[in-house]
Amino acid sequence: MAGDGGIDLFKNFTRGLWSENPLCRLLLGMCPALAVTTTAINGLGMGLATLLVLFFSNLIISLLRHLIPSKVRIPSFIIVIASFVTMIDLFMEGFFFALHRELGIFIPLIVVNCIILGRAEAFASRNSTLDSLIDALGMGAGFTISLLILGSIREIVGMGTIFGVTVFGEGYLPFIVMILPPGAFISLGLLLGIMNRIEAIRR
Amino acid sequence: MELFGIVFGAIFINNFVLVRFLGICPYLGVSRRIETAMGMGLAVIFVMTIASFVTYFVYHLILIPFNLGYLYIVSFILVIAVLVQLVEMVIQKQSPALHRALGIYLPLVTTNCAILGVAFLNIQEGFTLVESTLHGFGAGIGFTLAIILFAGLRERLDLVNIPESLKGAPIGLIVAGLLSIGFMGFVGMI
Amino acid sequence: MSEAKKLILVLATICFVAALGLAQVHQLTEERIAAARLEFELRAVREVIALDHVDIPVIIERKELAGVPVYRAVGDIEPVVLGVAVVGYGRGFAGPVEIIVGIDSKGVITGIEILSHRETPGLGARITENFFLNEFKGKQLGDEIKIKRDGGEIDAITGATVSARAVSEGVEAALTLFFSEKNEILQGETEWQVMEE
Repeated sequence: MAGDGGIDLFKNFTRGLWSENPLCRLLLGMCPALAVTTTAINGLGMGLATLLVLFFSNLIISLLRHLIPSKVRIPSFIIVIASFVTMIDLFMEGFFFALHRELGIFIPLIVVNCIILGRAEAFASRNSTLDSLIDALGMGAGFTISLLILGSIREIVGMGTIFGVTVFGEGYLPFIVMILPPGAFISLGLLLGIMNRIEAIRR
Repeated sequence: MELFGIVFGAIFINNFVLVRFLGICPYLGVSRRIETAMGMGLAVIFVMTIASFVTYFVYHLILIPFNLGYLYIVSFILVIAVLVQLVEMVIQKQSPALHRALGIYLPLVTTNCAILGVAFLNIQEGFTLVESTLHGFGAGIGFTLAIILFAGLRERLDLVNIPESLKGAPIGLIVAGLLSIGFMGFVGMI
Repeated sequence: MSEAKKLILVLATICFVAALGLAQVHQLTEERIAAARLEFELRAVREVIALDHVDIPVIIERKELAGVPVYRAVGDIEPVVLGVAVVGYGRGFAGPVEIIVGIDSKGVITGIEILSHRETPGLGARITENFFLNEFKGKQLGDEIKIKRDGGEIDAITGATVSARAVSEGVEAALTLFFSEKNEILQGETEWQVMEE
């Protein structure tokens, strides 16, 4: 079974992209997904910040998995996660000041994003470091792509632009409700519906 | 007037669920029936008010004087986790009836981003102790209002014919979107 | 008992290492964050003071007057105040609107920028667009710095009267502060903190 390692790692990675996509299939991380996806760039920024936190928390937790007694594992995970969130928060304020302002309290709130604690508990505390890192990359990428898609749809329809570049020309009357809170709920609802439909057809 | 504005704003204008997008998980998860929604709502009001009160002291009396403001994320989540445990123990001792009503919801509250969110917002807005506490209280009421409205709608949704792919969370989000349109009507009232 | 000790030991170790790491990262990023904040402020100040026509080197200074940040650009060689920027606050639709107002030494507005707001994207948030901001250029105290509905001269934004009103309130407050503190701003020499040369 020597040759199987590569395939397993690949499967492990793609799981997060589709069949166990954290946002669209597992319904985790809804709050930031709705709140910050007013533009494509905000969605991308939030997704990458979450991916970084997930990567480092999975790294540390999988390294420490034999050292942490199970009775105190949840508090330990929370401290590890909260520390990385603080680091990302400080780092972003220093290097991406404008984006950090846009995302507001949703950067610190990554700490209660169920994806991070969920992966720590369900995967990183039971698997090897390499597997955990691949898992973090897959899950993080799946989340980032979902946020990017949602942000792009809302920006294109709601403002007629993508990454700030006009796509529909001057005459386009933007459908403003898409970048307002109702648009967030309705577009995520429809996106989930479409994913369900595709999955149903695939089966 | 100012204080009234904070409470009114937290309930209607910046409704935590429908406008600020905080606490979506319990909103979708614990809204099957009106009674459970009510229980969850009361637990959230209770914990949010206390959490706003306590985190104010943690931030202004411990973190800021020692120039450790950047530790607010770590300290708030730990303080809130401990707080919920304490509240549960106290209620269990003092008022078994209340514990029966709120007990099962309290542990769920710990990972509710709305609680931590209200603590972060209090800091961001620079609220005083009274303002923070009232903001937490109003935010809790806003959450309860949204979740009860949604539970009521959901009991009806069970009886109607929904496309297979939209069942569950998708239709829940779309209904939340329609509720949110309704809440936008409050914007600008104060 | 020994199990409890072990649990405490593990948790304490994790906390200790986390605190150590955080302190380290905080130290590493502290300067960078302060610089980013300063740069954000300064960019807005330079924008509204409009020093394009000035060729001589200037120093930008800052001081808080009545709790409000005030900036001024002073000639490096000849200490004359070339432009002033005052922050003003208005009550918007969804929260406070923070505006920075550039004023020349005679009290005429040279430009305004929105520093922070929480208005609705696509509606109230249009107060950050240039067509609206430019309406304030050239106005001075005594002019009707109000939106048309309130009897002034500023064209409000369709569907965003409250946001536009918040901006005009903030601008007026900034101008009023400028006049009441005029001597200190134009001639004061103490406690002005140099931000950039």
